[in-house]
Amino acid sequence: MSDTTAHVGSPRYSAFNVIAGIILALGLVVTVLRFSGGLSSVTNLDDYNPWGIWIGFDLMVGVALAAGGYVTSAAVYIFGMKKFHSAVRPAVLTGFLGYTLVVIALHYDVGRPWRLPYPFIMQQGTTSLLFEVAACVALYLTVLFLEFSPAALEWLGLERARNWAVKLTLVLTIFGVILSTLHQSSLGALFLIAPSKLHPLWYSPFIPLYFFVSSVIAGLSMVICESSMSYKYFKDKMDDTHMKEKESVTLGFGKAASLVLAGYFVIKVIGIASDNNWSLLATGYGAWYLVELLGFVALPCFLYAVGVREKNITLIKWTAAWTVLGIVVNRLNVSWIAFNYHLPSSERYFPHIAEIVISIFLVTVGILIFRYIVTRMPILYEDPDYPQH
Amino acid sequence: MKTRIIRSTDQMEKTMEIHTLHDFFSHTKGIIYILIIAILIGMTVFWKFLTGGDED
Repeated sequence: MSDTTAHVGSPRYSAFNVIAGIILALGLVVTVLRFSGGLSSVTNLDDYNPWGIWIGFDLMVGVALAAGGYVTSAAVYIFGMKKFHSAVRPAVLTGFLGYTLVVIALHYDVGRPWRLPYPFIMQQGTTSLLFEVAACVALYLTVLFLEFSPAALEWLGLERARNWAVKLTLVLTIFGVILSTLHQSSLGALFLIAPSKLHPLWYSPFIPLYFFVSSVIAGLSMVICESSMSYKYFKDKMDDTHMKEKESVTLGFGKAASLVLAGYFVIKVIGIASDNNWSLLATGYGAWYLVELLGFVALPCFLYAVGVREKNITLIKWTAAWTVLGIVVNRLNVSWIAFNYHLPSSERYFPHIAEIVISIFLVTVGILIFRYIVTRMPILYEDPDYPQH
Repeated sequence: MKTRIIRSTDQMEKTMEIHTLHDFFSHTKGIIYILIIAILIGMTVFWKFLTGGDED
């Protein structure tokens, strides 16, 4: 199969491949500059702004958008929604690649990659939220690797190992949900230490809850986006089961996303009320906050509901893309736009072009690896030699 | 209670007569309780709307 699928999707010198090649080349140059010249050579980070888009986008957004893995696995294996089974492998693969790229992005920000295991071996630091995030991400990346492994083992023809990996599915799913609940919320909890730096409309004692609930929305929306993109570009790789279940996955996940968005909207409004921040809505930051709350939460909630009611798959797909953009906006608001809001504009952070290059580079690497795996391994189709689990 | 727009904490305290933590919680919790009633009704209506297209 690999011979026939080596160049599936596009010819070798297609526009996508050429652009991807240029991005990879630029990314590699910046990588050399970053690890030879340090952070100051390629970033605008300073003591006021120690976290830039490598954390705000690559990590915060990356972890949220990779939530489709635990959301889909939980729906199918814990809540018994077997009709969504065909969405599990693509979602787990997206999650696995997402978390892998998050860890790689962390190397760019932290530097000295050989020190990555230090939280576990050099000191315990168990009172730090960062330790909890590090532990959960490390463990969950392992869980995602094991959840993904049956597809790779089927591709390699290692039947016994594959059967063992399949037996672990339920345990891994439960473990994945627990770890995701912990670290998705902890990423929000990191900002609890900075009440004077984060604008009051985004700062809230409920911020861990906001991050967790919005990660569920991100996961559901990403599965819809990924499903629609897979159908567009890898239709020839999809079997009948995937084709048949595609519509029910979109409708089911759209319905769930609408409901969770409604809940998210409610807790955000209660957050404003509990901190008595109503007056701040009349300010410039308040207007931007309303754009996020009404434009990227209330609007997609309504559009998802209309799409589900009318079984309008196109509307649901576009709403999913809009919602994913909303998650990006939210994470960038918290980590960048509303952070250090009181500083004069001369002291505010704006990413260096090299930071942006690395972020685009990592997203491109993710897309290329996804394409490589999907065109070779049984992700969008079921291997006839291995029964459904 | 006056209805003009409040632009600072001092102004807020004068307008709503919030002097103590108790005042603050009485005010915010009062609003939250009203919101919760609205949310309970709103979510029921929304659920009916969301599931309105179901065949069964």
